[in-house]
Amino acid sequence: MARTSPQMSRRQALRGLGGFALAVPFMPSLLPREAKAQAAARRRFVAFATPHGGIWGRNMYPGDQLLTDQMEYAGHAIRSGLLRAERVDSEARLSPVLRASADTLDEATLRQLNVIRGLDVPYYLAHHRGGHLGNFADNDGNGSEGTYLWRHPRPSVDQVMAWSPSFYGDLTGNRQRTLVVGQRGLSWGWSRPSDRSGRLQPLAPANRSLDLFNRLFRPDLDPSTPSPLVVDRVRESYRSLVEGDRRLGAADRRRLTEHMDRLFELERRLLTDVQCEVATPDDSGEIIHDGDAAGQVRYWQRHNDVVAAALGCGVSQLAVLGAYCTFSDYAGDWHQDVAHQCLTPQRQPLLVEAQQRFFEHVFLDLVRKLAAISDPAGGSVLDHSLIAWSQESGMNTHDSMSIPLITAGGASGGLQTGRYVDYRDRAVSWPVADGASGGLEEPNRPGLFYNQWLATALTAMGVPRAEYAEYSRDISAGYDGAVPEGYGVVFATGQAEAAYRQAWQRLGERLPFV
Amino acid sequence: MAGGAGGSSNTGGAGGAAGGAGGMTGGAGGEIVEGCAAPGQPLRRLTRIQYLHTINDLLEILVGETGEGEHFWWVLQDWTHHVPEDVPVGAPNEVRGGFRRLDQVVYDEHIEAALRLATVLGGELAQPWWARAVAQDCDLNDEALDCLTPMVDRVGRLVHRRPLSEAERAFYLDLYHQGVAEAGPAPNPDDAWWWPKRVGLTGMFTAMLSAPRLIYQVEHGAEIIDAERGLYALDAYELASRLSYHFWQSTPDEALLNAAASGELLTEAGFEAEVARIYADPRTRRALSTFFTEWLRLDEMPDPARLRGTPIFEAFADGLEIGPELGQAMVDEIVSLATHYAVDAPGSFDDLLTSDLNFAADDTLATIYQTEPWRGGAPAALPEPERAGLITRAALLVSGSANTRPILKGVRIREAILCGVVPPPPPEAMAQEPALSEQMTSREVVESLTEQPGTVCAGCHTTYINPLGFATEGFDALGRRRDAQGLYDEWGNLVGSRPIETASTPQVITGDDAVAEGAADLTALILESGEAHRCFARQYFRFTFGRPEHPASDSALINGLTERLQAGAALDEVLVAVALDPEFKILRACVDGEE
Repeated sequence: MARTSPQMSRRQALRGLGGFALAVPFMPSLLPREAKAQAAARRRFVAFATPHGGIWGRNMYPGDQLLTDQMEYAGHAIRSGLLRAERVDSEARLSPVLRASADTLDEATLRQLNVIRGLDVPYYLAHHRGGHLGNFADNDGNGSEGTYLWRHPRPSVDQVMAWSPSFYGDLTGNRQRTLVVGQRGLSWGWSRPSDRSGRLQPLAPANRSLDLFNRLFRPDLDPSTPSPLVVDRVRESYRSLVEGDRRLGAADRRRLTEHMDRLFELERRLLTDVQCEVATPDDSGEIIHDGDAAGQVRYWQRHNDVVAAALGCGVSQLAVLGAYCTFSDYAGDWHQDVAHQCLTPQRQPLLVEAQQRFFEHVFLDLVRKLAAISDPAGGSVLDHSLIAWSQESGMNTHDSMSIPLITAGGASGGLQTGRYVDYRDRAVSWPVADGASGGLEEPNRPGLFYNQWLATALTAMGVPRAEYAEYSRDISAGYDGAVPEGYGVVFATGQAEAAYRQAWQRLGERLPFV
Repeated sequence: MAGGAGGSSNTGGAGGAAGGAGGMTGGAGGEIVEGCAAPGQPLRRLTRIQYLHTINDLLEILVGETGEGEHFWWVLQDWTHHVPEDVPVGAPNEVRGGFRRLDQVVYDEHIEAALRLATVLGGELAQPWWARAVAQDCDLNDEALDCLTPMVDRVGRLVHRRPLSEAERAFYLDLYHQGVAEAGPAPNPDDAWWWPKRVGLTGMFTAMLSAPRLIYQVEHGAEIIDAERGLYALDAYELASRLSYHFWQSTPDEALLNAAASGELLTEAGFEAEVARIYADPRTRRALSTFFTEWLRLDEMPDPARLRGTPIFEAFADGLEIGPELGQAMVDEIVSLATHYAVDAPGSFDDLLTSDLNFAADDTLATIYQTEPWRGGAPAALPEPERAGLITRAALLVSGSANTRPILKGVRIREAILCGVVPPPPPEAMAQEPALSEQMTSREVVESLTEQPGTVCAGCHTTYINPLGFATEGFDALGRRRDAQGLYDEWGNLVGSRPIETASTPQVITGDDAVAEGAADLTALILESGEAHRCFARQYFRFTFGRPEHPASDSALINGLTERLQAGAALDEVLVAVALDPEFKILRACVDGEE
């Protein structure tokens, strides 16, 4: 397998974007010819997830005038067009949420983005985290449909990638397969990931950027870093127990074996050589306070620094960031008093302000950091990445129709970018909420399954369907029982069953327009 | 409240989902295994609190006599945040509550944190002054290393919680010698005399403190009791560990290991003597604190200071000093109260539920109770006659806002105290929070929102949930006694007042039309039903065995505990009784699909 670790002959310093300086030696023109010829692009995947949602369509998405292209798909017309930002003073604006300073949301950045509307989880899915990446079973059971989904857990797509031989065919320089930050429940993997077996369980997130940084870049300076020899011998002690104690039950052995597997992975990480020079950040800004939007932004920008350094240096190619902050100075009960009141004209602006702050100062912050790092295969690290930001809900909190999805990066050509896409069927109109809808007059309209996006992301990351087909399943009563080709559990009931029948048949296809 | 991203309370909603997908991770999560008469749990991982206590207590044994063990205490403090938190896990399909002992998920972080902590501690213990203490002043400079084997045996026995086998002893000695051989030159020439030994000891101690027998409760049983049902009698050391981890949340002490070694622990008298000794030890309070906290879901308690600084809350607080420590003080009060009846002055379960004793050690909490702070010693009675019983304590009343939450209070009583099953709310039910009104009391708001005839909400709320919460409406959202509820506008101006109505028909037992005039009546109905005693027995069973009860095989034990509680047995007797039951000494080897 080709080694793509860059040489140290020249460094591009990334300063001023975060709390530390990153010296990333990715300058392809200076790579030895052979190495350059061998350099194959490593694809990277980053998932941002934010809670609640509840952003009205007109606040979340660009205007219809951008939707210049149209095609028939899954039984209805879908639309798309190039992203164009409106300039308002010093600001570039796609929508009230998707706006930023013109320097940040410049033309080059716009060309890297996609704004996608009309990806649906067409059943009631409240208080979920796992749904962002394909484990719809991780919800709080608020509603019978959510409870029903408990029976069908799935690994999240990042973990499918993390243990995919296609995605991680070459682990040279890799210190950690997945960086999980901020929120438990977004990323779900196996208790024995090496052969993708055992129970499904959430990955524990890191919550301190400095700890994460040290683990990735400075294990040599950390007195707690065990020597590979000791790890090897500890693993040996587990093996001795498994093999030497014949009275242990099979389940006991299985747990010990899983433990040994993880020790093996730890040993691999410890033996990995990292060829980057990265200055150590200070330890400020590690604590989040409610009602402190600026502090929350700083906290996530610090994590962006570490993620950018990790992706740039190749110590990881995957990051899952559960940004479960309010990004608001509002000090009250955000969930009940704001998110649950998203349909009221009084509370909607607070949500818009918060999500806009996240977009400009967290999402685009990472986009810009990755765009500033050169990749040995040519272009920037962003060119070989797929950054996805999904919200928990659509226009109403806990309503999973049209979950907003913003992407950045071309995934090494795996994704077309620079587009606004609307997959909704405008001939169908469903009320957003029973009873009073406050100031929201827009209806829900069925589009395509969110599962199709998940499969598209896997495809864009080079993971063939054969590696995840076993996790696809339709649990709807009304369809024909055939295995759908999107990722994970597909479920449609009631009025959704008919509305999504043709979308169900297109699940295995890459999302159109992107 | 401050916290990492995962701990931010303000994002709210999804925060309650810890148990939501609990059946998925299973943890110990209580799978009912077909073909298994009563499934056990495979290779239980120490909980976070058990693991940290274990390391702390081991160090106390190993170096405590030096009088300088505080050094290691600080090392541990630096490390606690690296060990993943456990989450409460209940029985399958239980949405809320549960015990952390049932969380058996093993993360990479468990493994890495344990290994890193072992590396740090191994390096520390390999310093000559500490190593000398561990070797009990045996001369480690002796080239013949006559001290090494006894030291390995001593430490190994403590971390493995049983004597080392020959192979295990050889393994650790080999690790030492390998380290010595590969040590290389000392970085500092002044340390050359000790350097090879230090490298050898570091590796050896690190491996010991990372041992599977330390991190897991390894049980394989001794003699077969019932091969067909997969039942084995625990051996003496396994039994010692069960006892210490149940009552102390930690490793056996020397005395307990000695009782196991002598065989005394396997005799009836010897076992009972050890149980009595263990229960009387102050370390038992650790486990009791954990149990009472998790049983009553006190760690889900909203932070009473959450809305401090907002107009309505400040007006509602009316000058009361609500600091960030108040929430923990409320929890501590409940723990002190429960521990009083469980240990200090043993009383019955009924005594606990009806107690009027003051354990409010915090000044603000004492002000809420209209009394003086408790400063230890014999507690006085609380002055307000209405504040009788557990459900009138602030920790079970506080809402984190200016309005009470009758629904949440009702759910907690129904689920945690009565072990009722509250089905998940229908879609969007959570979207309409019972908010403060300028015209209605919290009860009236809840009634208008959830008890409209013919609605899907009314079915559960009218009879099953709300009445249990209405009974304590005589106390406000900070736990202060009240007869009327002040009504505020959004700027915090008091715009009215409405009388409080506490009478309800709680249906502690479905169909019972008895009316509770308030909290005291409700407590009486709860106790009269006997359901709370049965529920407490069930909760304690789960806490003890780290698994949900199995109807076929565990009913006898739970029924026995229930009968003792209903008969007014002292809590200490009941809490000890579970260890004296034959089930406590049994390994259920049938797990997770095995027969």
